[in-house]
Amino acid sequence: MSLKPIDLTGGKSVYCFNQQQLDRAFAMFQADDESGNKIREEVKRLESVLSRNEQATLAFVLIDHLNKTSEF
Amino acid sequence: MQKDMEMLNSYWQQCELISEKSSLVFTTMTKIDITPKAHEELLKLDIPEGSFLRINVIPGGCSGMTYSAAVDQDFSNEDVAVYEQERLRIVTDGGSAIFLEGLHIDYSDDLIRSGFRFTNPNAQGSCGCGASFAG
Repeated sequence: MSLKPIDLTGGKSVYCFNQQQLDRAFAMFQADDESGNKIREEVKRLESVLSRNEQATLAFVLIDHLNKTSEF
Repeated sequence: MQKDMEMLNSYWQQCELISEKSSLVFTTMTKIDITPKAHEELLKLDIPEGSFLRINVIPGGCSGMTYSAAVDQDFSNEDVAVYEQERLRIVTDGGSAIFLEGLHIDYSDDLIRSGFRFTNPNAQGSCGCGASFAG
């Protein structure tokens, strides 16, 4: 056999979210308080000025930075 | 290797003959569906003349089973040819063939869901991109 492996699946999963994390994030996003208002305004602004792939890049970079600076 | 290629070529010729004579027989073979975009991306793998892409199903991934892919030259009696178009030939082993029947492969440029997308009608469940599935 002369197999030369090819990765069609994009490699290993790097960051994995669970339902609890997503529920907490959406609760913060929808909350009627200063933090919720700030997040909604920023998301609305970014969605209006960035393309889909720019938004995805921003999200990935932010997640990567947050993970690298996590105390846990 | 020469013998393997002769066996593979003979297999493709038989498929063509069978499909000409009876579509019923041909449809009993394992077949996968690849969108033009995914086909174009698979061609970019630059598989050498005389080689083919082998896609097998192996244990792994978050849903239990996942796909492995490799460029190969050795076609055995237990192998099944599942796709041939333009310069792209895809082969799988007999054990994986049952899981690949009806597999749909697409490709997305959308960064949040980029890369090859696998939709498998045999899967009981799968992860977001379909790269891992439960049979």
